[in-house]
Amino acid sequence: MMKTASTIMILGALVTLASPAFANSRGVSNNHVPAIHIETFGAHNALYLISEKANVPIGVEAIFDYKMEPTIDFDFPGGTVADLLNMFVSQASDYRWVEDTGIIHVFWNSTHLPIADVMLSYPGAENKTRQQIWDDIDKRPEVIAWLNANHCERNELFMGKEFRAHNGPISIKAGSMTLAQLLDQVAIKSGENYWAIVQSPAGQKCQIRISVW
Amino acid sequence: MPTSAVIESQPLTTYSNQTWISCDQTETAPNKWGYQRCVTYQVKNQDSKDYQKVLDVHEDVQVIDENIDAPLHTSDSSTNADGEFLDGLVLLGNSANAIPANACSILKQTITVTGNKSPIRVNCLRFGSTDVTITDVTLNPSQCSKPTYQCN
Repeated sequence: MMKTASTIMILGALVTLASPAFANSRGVSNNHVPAIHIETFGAHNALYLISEKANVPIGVEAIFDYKMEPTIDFDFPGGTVADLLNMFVSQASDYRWVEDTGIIHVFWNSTHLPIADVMLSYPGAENKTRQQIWDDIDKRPEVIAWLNANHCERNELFMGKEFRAHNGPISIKAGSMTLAQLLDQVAIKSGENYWAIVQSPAGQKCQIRISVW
Repeated sequence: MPTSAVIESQPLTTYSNQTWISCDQTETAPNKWGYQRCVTYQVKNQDSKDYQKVLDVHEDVQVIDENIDAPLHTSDSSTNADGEFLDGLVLLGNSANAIPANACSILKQTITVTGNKSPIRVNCLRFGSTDVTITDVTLNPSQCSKPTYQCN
């Protein structure tokens, strides 16, 4: 996963985080995780497995370039979520994690994807399923405007099992929030515990996957 | 005890701007392109006889290689009283060109059921643009790895 400085400059719209990876000592990063084995191609796939096996909410912002993706393979002997994430980062060195309220955010090259920071005037969701709330993201004018302005398109692939579980009705209050904050709430309240925004690499047609699974 | 699982049927359905219906007909999604293979397994005992009990079915999935961003997701299920269970192998997109012609995603799928800590079936699944192939690697799961299985 080596990225050159020029690649980073091409991704100029990305916003660099001030602090790459420091855990809140009393948050979810301090939770205990039993011994687990993580083995898969692709850093974001590994993060999905970590969220599932360690039962920890994770939101991921990443660039997916299959030619550069690492295969993650490690035996975690048991420890804290922080220990587990640090073991992940030791094999995916372009990734950093931070802890926010009740969720771990993981970033590629320490950067937010700009679309994650799009501010929504969210109308609220009352007893809607995870699938319904995810479907509605397509209708948010702020998301549509950002995609149009940046010549990007949504491109999600489905493997048919995305909404089999954790799809009971949940509610989210109306208000101003970023897309990432909305996804945080959906992931935590639904129990799915995972979301990802994945963008195509610089130099390719801009495609973005927004998934809460 | 439940020891193995064999495929009884695996019909393929393709979608071109059509409503996807899951193999168990509990889920639908409109305007999809792609395909679904509905694989029905029969659980067998150590004598290769049908194991006719309701069992919890658990899958672990590992991505071996891929050139598409098809997010990993697993799902547990159960057998019916005859010891049969369904697995939907699906690749769908929201537009005609969502799945590229050279699409490739290779997954190692490990299936376990209640009553046996060892996997009853390990598959190497190769998803392409129009179909998925299933290779039974239960006897040698490490076979499902690079370079034997990889996307070009």
